[in-house]
Amino acid sequence: MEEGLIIGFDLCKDFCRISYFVSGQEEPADLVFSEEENPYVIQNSICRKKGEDVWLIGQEAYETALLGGGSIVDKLLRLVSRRGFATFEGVQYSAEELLFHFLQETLEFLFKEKKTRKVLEIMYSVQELDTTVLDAVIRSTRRLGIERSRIHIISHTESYLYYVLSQKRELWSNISVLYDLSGDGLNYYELEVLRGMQPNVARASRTFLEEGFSLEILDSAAGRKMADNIMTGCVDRMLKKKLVSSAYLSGRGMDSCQKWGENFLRVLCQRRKVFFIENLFAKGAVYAACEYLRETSVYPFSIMCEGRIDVDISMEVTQGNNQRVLNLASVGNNWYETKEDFDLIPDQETSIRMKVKRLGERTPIMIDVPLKELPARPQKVTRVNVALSFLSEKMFTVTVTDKGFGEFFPGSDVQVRKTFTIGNGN
Amino acid sequence: MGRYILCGKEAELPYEVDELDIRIYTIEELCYYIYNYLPLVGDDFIDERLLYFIRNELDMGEIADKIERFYSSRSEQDATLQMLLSDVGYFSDAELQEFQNRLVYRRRKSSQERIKAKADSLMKLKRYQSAVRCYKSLANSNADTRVSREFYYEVLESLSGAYGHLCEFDYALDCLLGIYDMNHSERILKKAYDVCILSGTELPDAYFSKVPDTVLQKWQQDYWNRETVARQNLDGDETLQIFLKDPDTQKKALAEYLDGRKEACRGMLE
Repeated sequence: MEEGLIIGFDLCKDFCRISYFVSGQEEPADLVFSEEENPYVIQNSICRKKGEDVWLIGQEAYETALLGGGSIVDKLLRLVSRRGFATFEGVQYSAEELLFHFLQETLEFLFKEKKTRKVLEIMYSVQELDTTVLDAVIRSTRRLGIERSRIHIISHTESYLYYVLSQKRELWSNISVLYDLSGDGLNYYELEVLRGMQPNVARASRTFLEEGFSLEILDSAAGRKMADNIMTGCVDRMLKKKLVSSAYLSGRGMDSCQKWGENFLRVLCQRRKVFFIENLFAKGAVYAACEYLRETSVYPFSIMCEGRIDVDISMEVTQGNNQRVLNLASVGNNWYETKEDFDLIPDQETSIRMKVKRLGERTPIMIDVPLKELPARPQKVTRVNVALSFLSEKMFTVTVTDKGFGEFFPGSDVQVRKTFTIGNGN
Repeated sequence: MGRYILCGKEAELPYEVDELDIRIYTIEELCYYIYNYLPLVGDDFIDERLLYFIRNELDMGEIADKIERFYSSRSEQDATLQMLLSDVGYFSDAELQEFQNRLVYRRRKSSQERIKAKADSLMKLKRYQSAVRCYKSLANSNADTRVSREFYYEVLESLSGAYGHLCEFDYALDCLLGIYDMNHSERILKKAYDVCILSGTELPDAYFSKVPDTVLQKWQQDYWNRETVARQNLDGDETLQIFLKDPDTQKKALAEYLDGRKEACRGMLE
């Protein structure tokens, strides 16, 4: 394998974690940010040092701000999501600009530690696939000098899936589950491999549990007792009838679960292997990133989870003298990265017609984007650009742009855009 | 049944077609040009420039190699063009058959007839300067005895028409009188009369002194009639229509019209 870093970047709303892989290692390693209580976590906060062009992040940012050495912005991703601004010493910075400095300073820890700046792949893992945040993360990372083709984003669910599938087979031969307890609440993840399909399907899902509690209650004895009861109840209710091969625990709330969750752990450990994994999502992201460096996947599955689509979209085209099927999206593709852009010349067609087939459904449906708004021209002298992109796992947009036919029939740039919702029968 | 043709790459540096003053960016446009403007496609169309465009700009090395091999082994441009159109798949089988028929028809013509067909196409496309060049090349080679004199009369008559469109009335008149010198056709002399009236040129005595006054009066009446009809038709003329548009559209339309005229003037200076 080429020399360089493969980075898994768990980017949560309030904090982030980094795991990385360099050639020669067997397992991804976790980046240590400090010698504090939780050395693998850094808060999503940034401070600009007063009078200097110096950016500080995490704990250092808080300390500097506390001593009056600068202003601080925390919960950075929330600010990015709102396309907000912050003002430091009379200068207004966009949230994306702050995100850029934050990512730069965060990755600097890793570059210094490993004494290399060469990034082979960087995979961000986020809980919510918010396009505003995703676009900002990608643009900021590109500004750091990392090529677009090396930057990827997946959901926490998918990170979890990759993490588990990278473990011994016996740990995922039946269902595998994860309880992630953090400041954002309690999330339950479940992974199942559906055999008998070609290829087999690895399906993972996430459920936000209303039973989740604030981590502050763990500070008192009564709170710890209540937390234990809540989690024991969850496990009892959710896993009682399931054949679970492995259970994982992660998140800041779980790192001390041996102190507060005696009953919870006792119930969970019955006939199951249970692991507490530091940086589980970041490690999963590293495993997922490694896939981009392989010629053939080591995971012989179709992947279905949050962030992945469950449809095949295609259209029949003529290329040269041959008829062929042009695949535009396939089951298991990451919706955020599924983008197709190509040019067609419709010949005796009044619309762009695509075939959409959902996983598990026998009959595909046909969708049409009408071309009647385009300027009227003779047959075969209208070249159109067709762009397909997803807005979420369940929604995609087809944009058709008139390009005319060179200088014979100049294009009008008229656009026809249609959004389709998967599962609505249209 | 309909279909969708998947397009290839668009060239960064286009292939320039001087005859049409147009740039071609895709293989589909190239095929369209060959099919629809066949008379303009000269015998030297397949050359290094074309092959470079297909190979390097369109990234279609395979087709470029095939053309090169095919053309060098047979030296038959028509068959090579047909192969290109067939391989690209832009045209239907029926269209390819029709193209083949046109190639066969074209092949039966002499080289002079092909040049004239090209010049006639240029006239239709209002590329008068280029048409003049083609007609002149034919007129200057009138020593060729394989082509009938009537053919050269047609060439000179068309040349006068092209000069007329360029407002070069002296040259237009010379062409017509040149024909008249050879065939003494009254129709040609009448045309020369029209040119003189249109341009305000005095009727050359050597040609018109022997024409009876009654005939001249009839020609004049005929000219006026045609002029009246032409003026009426001007109501639908695109130039006049520009001035009937709203101010914003008029400005844009005028700019486009003037650009077109400037382009034509540049062509005349070439």
